[in-house]
Amino acid sequence: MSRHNIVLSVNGKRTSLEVESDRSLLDVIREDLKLTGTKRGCDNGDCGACTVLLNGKPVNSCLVLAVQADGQDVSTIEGVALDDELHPIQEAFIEHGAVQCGFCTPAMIMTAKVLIEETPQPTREEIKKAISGTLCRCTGYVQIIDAIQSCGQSSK
Amino acid sequence: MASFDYIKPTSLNNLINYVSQAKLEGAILAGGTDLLNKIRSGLITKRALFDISDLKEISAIADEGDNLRIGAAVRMREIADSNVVRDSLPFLCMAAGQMGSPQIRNRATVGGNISSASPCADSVPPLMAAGAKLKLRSQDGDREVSLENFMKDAGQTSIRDHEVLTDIIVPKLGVGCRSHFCKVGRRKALAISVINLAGWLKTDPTGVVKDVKIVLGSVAPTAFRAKGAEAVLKGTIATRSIIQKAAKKAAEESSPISDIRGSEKERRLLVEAWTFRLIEVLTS
Repeated sequence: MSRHNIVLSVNGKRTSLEVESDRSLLDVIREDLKLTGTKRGCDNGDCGACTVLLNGKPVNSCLVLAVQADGQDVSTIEGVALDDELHPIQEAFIEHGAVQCGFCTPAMIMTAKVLIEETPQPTREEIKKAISGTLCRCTGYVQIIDAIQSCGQSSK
Repeated sequence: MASFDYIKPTSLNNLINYVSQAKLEGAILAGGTDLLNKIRSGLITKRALFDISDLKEISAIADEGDNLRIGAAVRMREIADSNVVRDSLPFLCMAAGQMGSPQIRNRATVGGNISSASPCADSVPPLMAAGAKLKLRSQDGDREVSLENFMKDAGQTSIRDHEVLTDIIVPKLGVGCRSHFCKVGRRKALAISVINLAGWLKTDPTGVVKDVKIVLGSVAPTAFRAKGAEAVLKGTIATRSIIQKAAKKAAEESSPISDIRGSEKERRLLVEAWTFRLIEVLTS
């Protein structure tokens, strides 16, 4: 096991850490940085609850070694709200009943944020494909898709 | 979980030196979407992982005229999004876009998908059908091997313990070739293939099948060419009954196992049904 000093940007903030080689980015986000919005669902890439943005792209943070985040940009759910206001995507999730237990919600929102930035008015099929890597056991997905689609339409 | 040292080689040569020294005690860390799970579950133990994330030499898709050269560290997402792959190897584009999940595709690499040698690997059927060759480099020099000969058994390739997979050289499908890929899983995403298959086909102006390649995955220790099915089609105009005959042959050529994702019998039925559909698409 080796130890590494890393410097990364977390939600825009320069962050220095010492990490052991075998710790995952998920471990470090939750345990060292105390950013517990990102959830540990399965720890092996099968559920998507741990999704964060690595250089703007959704990844399973359980499958990224913390040391691999050296020099990279990491965005978590804590960075989504704008100062005192919720992001429009977060508002849409609430309005559409897309949050039940909330465990998949951070991952869904991170994914939705990237989707809408890349495809301002996504179709339902595009939304389904984008969220296909995150499981929800509560909602049956319809409200989540509705919420994301409503954001797309309103960003005209 | 026994731990490992993390090393990030600064160049391909640097990586080769590390791999030569470490041999089987080291492993290449690319996307980590398979390797890290195996290490954490104790299935494999490595003293050192060599991260190839930033090795530019093996991270590009290059158009080389008749071939595409795909670096082993190219992410599946890059292959799925690539215009040149979409235009010259449509079925590889399809496979890359269906593997895993978006999050996994943003990390997983084609070199890793091949090297893990899962019988269910999604990139292997289209690459094998297209006649892909692999470039392997060591301190002794370069070696080239066909993907077909590289895949030895479930979980086993013919890579030598001091070698690094650097490139996948894929001949482009010619003008007039149609290609298709099917992935059958228990759900549409985050699913390990129960069966997967890829094929390409070319007819002459009268509609006679001039050339066809069909590769079946997940129904044998490695993906393989369904040569019997191909022989049924070649030189014919593919009527419904000929396609049925080819699909039946494909099912006979398979040697599926029963596991948690499906029984041997189910898999054989799936091979027959989906080979039929694949050929229908290729000849429609």
